[in-house]
Amino acid sequence: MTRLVALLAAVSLLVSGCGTKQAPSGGAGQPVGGGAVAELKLPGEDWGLPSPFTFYPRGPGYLHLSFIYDTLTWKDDKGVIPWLAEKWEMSPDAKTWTFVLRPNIKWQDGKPLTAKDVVFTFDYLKKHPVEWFNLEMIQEVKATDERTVVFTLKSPYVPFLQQVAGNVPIIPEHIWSGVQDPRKESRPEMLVGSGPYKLLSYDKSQGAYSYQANEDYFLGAPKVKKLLFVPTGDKLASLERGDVDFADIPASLAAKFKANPKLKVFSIPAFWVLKLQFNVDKEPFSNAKVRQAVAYAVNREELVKRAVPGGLEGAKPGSPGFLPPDSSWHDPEAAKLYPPDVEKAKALLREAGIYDRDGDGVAEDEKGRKMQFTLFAPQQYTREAEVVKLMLKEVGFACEVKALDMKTIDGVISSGQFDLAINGHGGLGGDPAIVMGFGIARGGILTPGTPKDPAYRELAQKLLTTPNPEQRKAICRQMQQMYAQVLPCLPLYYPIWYYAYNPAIFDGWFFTAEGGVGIGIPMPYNKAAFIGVR
Amino acid sequence: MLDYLARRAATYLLVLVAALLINFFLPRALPGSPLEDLSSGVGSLAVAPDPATLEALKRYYGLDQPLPRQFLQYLQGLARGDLGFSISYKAPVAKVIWQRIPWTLLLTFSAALLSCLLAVILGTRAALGRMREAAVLLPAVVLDSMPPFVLGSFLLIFLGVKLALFPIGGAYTAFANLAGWEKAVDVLRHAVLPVLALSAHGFFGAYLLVRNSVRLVKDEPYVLLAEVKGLPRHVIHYRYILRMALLPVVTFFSLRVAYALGGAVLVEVLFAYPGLGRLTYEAVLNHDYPLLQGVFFVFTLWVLAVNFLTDLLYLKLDPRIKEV
Repeated sequence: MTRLVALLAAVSLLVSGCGTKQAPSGGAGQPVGGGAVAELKLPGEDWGLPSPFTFYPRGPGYLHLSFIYDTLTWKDDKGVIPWLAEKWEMSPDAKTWTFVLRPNIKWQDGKPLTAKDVVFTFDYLKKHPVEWFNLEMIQEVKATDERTVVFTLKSPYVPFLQQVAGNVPIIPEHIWSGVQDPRKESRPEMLVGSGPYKLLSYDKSQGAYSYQANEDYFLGAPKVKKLLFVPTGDKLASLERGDVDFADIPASLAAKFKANPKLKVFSIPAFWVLKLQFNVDKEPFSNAKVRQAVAYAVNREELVKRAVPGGLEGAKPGSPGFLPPDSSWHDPEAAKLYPPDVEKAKALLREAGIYDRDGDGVAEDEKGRKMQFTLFAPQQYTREAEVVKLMLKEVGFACEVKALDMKTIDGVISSGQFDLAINGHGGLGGDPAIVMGFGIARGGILTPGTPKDPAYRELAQKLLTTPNPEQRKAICRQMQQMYAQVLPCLPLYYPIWYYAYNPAIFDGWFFTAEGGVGIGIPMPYNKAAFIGVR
Repeated sequence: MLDYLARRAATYLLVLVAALLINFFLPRALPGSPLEDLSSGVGSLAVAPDPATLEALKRYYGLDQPLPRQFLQYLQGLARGDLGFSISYKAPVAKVIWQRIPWTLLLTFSAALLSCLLAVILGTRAALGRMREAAVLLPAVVLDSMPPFVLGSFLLIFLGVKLALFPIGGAYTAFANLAGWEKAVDVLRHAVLPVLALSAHGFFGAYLLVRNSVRLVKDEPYVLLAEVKGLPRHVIHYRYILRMALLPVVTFFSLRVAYALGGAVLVEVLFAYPGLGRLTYEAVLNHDYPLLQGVFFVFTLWVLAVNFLTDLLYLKLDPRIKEV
């Protein structure tokens, strides 16, 4: 449906020669003195009440939360920056982390924020766990004075800044200490943070939020005085009407929006992957040779060009080593493996005993079973699935594409009732120990897509506990090489996301380093941009 | 009469029980679970909660219990009027649904009313030979064959963006804090495009229905008798012909209202309208079992209630049904 609307929008843009109707803004939204922005309107959708216990545990939900609450560290376009903590230190064994808070930080109700609040936050989250915050590695949190907090970990944990310090919102003890069930706490007046914005109103059913700048913020009064998330069904139409000042746009329309003099367009790596998942526990894809054959057969570059005309502008073909070229951890050697080669694919399949024995165009294995599979694919990606199907047909695999929604495919994959499935997820810009290790670091849950090889798991564990950046790079390269050999899944492509905005209202957008805000949310809503402290 | 109603009530009860069973077990038969949905979807992250957290959450939401036990708890909750706690919305299901119902009622009733009213007026005129049908037929066929969300997309682009006549998102202007008349006008303006998108679909069927039944009725002997008696034309048209011809239209209208809930899903999504349809869409995407049960429960009650009202209306319009 979104594609349909996008198409209609494209047609209408063409018809009108890219004319944009300006918003009847009536004073609001105009830049006010001193570079301040009176009001910035963003596309709204319901992401839950922005408390650490009721936000919907997804990227946008977390971003809402981050306007009200602060973390010990934060990120800008260059990397990790001090936030509540002015400095920190990791012990050489990466098991003890010490943070020193800035002096004189106040909660929005005027009470002082101290090290005791930080300790309370972690104790309280242990008692009332939230999916988004993984605190398993923490042994103990202690305040040694008013401003110093010491984290003692069960085992060394190098990505602590990104995963914990820059992710866990510090909450006030004086507000939450009496709350028995924070998930059922829905009074907006409980949302007292230390952050740059206060929640003015929240309309759950419409997904509308309004935030008012906290003029006493410890980093200075925010530049954007009001953040409004307004209900939008179709973002492109809303942008064109001036209902919103910013929207994500489909890649296929980027050129049209660029031609509009009133709007600016920018793109960021999505750190998102569409991948072909094999069932490594079931024949024939339990055989690594068969998986490698598929990698030779599926021409990723061609797929990016052909699957969605214009729709994958700027997308990068998948690397068998998993990490995208936009990641600083990417291994170009692993990316070069499995160039398109149908003959090589057929040869590998023959080694595995799979070839067309009866000349009907479909290969059989040694037991005479036909290579016919259901290829599960998300509705939005059925075109990609059709192209993969055609490419696999070349090597004698007959696939039938079955479209489902993404979460149902997740369920299909974890139930093990499949042979081939296409699915996608984000977060590839996060720390490689988390991205490449997936469940390994977390007490042995193996997310589908992780090599079960003990040697690989050992490397992942080493990546998690090695503080030296150069050594980490080397380990990460080794992991990507190994991943490409085992090939539990074949990355198909990494898309680019496009955004269009009205620079007359606000022009301070930037892309956050290290894969995005917090644990790696690749969205431009970084509060540092709205505060103007970059 | 009482006997008739008692029989109907028994049927409704049976339907309700069957629906409860389906509502509970069908969502759970889908692969995946509400807590498993963190790792995929556009814009989401590879967040893998640690096993202890997952266990704690399963316990918290009662998903660690065996299914029959969960079903029993669901029924006990229902008996107390408690629809449960939404996992994705982190709020009581009843409250979430309650906020959405008025908006969907507004859309579906207005749309059904609009299409039926137009159908009655135009259908009667056509049957009585007072207008040329061709003028209605072609546009009606075109509009009818379009799914509501396609028509909605066209309306959105042309009336919403190009001409900027009506708002295109939400049910009222956010943060405007309007009151009284201003608020009513604001709400109506937001409802125009979705109502138009919904009402075009189904108009054609209603039109044909009215036209044909008026045609049938107008040649009945009792109409001829009335004409012979010299009754005024408008009395014959409205009291004699239209009243009998309306019977199928009433059924049609109620079916439209009952069915409109489903049809409203995509239109509500398109216009970011905070109704039940959009809620259902989100609940399905999130595999939110308690919310899905709640929404389907409300749908079931809705359809049953509409049916019941239709039955009552029938009794009023055609008293002979009582004897059947």
